[in-house]
Amino acid sequence: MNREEAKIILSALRNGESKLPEGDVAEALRLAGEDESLGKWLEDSRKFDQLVTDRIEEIPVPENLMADILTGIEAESKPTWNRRLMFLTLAAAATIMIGLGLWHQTDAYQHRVVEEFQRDMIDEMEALNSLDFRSDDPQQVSGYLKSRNMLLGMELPDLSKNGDLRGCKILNWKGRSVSLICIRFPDKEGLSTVHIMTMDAGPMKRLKEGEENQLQVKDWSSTAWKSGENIHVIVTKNTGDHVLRDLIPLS
Amino acid sequence: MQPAVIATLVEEHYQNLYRFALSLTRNEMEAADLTQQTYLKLAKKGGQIQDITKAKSWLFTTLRREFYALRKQTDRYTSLEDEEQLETEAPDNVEFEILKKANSAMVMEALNQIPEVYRVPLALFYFEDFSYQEIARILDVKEGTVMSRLYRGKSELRNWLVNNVDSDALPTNIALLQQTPGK
Repeated sequence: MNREEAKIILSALRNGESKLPEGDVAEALRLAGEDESLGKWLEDSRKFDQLVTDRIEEIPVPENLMADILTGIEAESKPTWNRRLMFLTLAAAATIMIGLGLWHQTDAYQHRVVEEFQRDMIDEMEALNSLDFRSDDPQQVSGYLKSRNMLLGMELPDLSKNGDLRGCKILNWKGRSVSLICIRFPDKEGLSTVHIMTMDAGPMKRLKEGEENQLQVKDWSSTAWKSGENIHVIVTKNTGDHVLRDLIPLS
Repeated sequence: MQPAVIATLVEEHYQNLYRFALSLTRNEMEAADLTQQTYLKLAKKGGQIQDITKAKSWLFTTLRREFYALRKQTDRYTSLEDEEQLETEAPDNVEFEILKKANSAMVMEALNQIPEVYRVPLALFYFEDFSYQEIARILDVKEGTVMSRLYRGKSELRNWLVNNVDSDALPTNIALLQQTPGK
């Protein structure tokens, strides 16, 4: 290594470098230690480095630069957070939707909806004071409902024995049309009215076929079951079980 | 990257990053923009930095790349290799007392006057105490090349200062820098 090569290496070193020199660097330092003029050059070079470093630290930096940088970063990162928040919200919504979808498949959900439907129908019957169409002729009642695109959904019970058909009405449950047929039966306490409602199964379509759902609210009794694409509900007040047994086409 | 970490990196390096940008652009406004741009990139892509101790190198490397990308866009790009031919002999016998008269504005102007091929490694060497190995990594050149450029660059710097430190006819931008209070 000659003096010029040593200078190139030494020029790249920083005064007070902590790393132990090795290889060419160690050799250049050794030369600087032995060669007085090279040693003087190194000393002078380091003084120059220090002077330049000191002067550079005095170079003014715009006063607001730091604030501007931080403000810029904050402004830039805000939409990112919003995007994250949006993503989390969508993810949560998707999870809820999937959860709801799965929940809707469950038996517990199906039974809860049926029970709600039955309760609402009981309320309707408690408040019932008129029918849309009055007739004791099953053909006419059936025709009336069919002409209004209403579901009859089930064969009307055999009324030849002792039943008395009163008529029908169209109800609404959560935006769905419900057909109502009223039949009066003699009972041990006189006459009792049986209300038969039919609606497309819709939200209860996963209800098990042939399974009865019983509900008692005060004096009102209700039985619901699914048959094909329809859900049927019978609501009676103080009616004997034998009447209902005759009406419900389930074993 | 956590906002608190970014804030710390801003606080620790923004001044020297700006000075480095100034050495590249030779324009205060562009230097400030470049510094901001670099930190915005840090905020966006800082998560890619696995080792936080490498954040400083990342900042200077990114700023340099941003500068060249910007310059390419404005068609002002000059190949470093073209400038590499401009080499001068390093003067050994300079009067250090003369150099001591140089103020920060003169040093900055001296840096601005020397070819970029030397100016960039010098800026990294002086501004943020990078070792020649780190400079080699930032500039993506061999360590020997960095040593050579530092040597030639320092010689150029000294020459310019020795020849101009007593000159009354300083460029306008130096006069302006001198009027600006130091940090």
